[in-house]
Amino acid sequence: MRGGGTDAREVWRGWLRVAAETAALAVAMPQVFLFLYYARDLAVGSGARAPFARALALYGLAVAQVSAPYVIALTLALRVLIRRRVRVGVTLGCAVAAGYLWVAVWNGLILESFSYGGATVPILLCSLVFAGYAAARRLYLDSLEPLLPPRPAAPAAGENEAAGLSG
Amino acid sequence: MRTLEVIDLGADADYAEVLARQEALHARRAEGGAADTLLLLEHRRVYTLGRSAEAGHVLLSEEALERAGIACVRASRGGDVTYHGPGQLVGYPILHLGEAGLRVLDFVAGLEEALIRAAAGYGVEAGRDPRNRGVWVGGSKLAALGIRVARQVTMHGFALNVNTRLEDYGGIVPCGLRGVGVTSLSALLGRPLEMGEVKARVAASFRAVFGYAEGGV
Repeated sequence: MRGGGTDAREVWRGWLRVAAETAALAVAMPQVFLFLYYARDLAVGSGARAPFARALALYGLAVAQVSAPYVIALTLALRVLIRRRVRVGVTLGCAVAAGYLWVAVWNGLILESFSYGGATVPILLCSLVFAGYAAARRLYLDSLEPLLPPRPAAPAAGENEAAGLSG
Repeated sequence: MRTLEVIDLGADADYAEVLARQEALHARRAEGGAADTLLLLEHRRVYTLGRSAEAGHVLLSEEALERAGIACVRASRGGDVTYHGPGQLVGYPILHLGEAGLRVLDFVAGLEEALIRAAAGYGVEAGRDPRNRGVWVGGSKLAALGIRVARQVTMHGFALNVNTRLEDYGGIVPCGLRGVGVTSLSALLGRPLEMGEVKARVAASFRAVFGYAEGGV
């Protein structure tokens, strides 16, 4: 009974981590993108940076709300990439492509807000963080592997046949 | 009756900052997460080039612009080149045209009507020019319009010259129209006007024209 409870708790903890990771990415990614996109205006705009930063934070929340399905799909894709131990370069390439795709979808379906040239640096930096996180998570999982009990080997087909279990 | 939220962003507003605010409001309005909103403000000195603007309509060099302290930015609205600066009342309506049952041309005509009524409150008889959009007094432009509509929600809007430094228009061909004058309410009345009062009048006429319940700024 106790073992079953612990298993359930582990499953819940796993789901909570996935939900927290997804929510953090869905909220943080648009914020980071927008602050990078408007970094120059924020830096050279004379005075009153705090209201501008507040406006960008609110804009980020609006973007997060509207593009939540896309970012959630992206987070799930990231999990697949980590699980499949895809190389960092491939993850980075996928992230850059996903970034430009997001800009194209936003410009096409929501509002033509971002220039592709202006979005390049924010996309690259966000993608580097994305790929870096994937690499770090993969290293962490690799480091855990020696601690996990070895999985029992699947019985060979020949063994079943020998026991008269086939057919 | 529908309600309109009027937000006063004050003076010396940075163009990029207000653009970010507009885009955020636009995204939320299109998703149904915000009410119709009218932003009222005065910009820091800036020339903005609309989507159909010719770069040659900015007559000052980059160095001259820098010396004059006037920024120059590309804007996603329609129209040509215009000027924004202190003493000019800029209004950015974020309205859902579909919910209001308006076509784009009705909306533009409504904007003109709201500004004509506000000017009439000061005894200024302004009107339309069938060839060129905006609000005119004689042959001079009192207010410029430049809007954008996406997902049936509007952004950008109007610029009404209240106490504007009209010399700043000398650096551009306003709205791409050569030989056309620009005027302001203060130039027409021979006295400066209190911006808070103009904002209240514009908000009131805007609400009346577009059928919103009365309210404050």
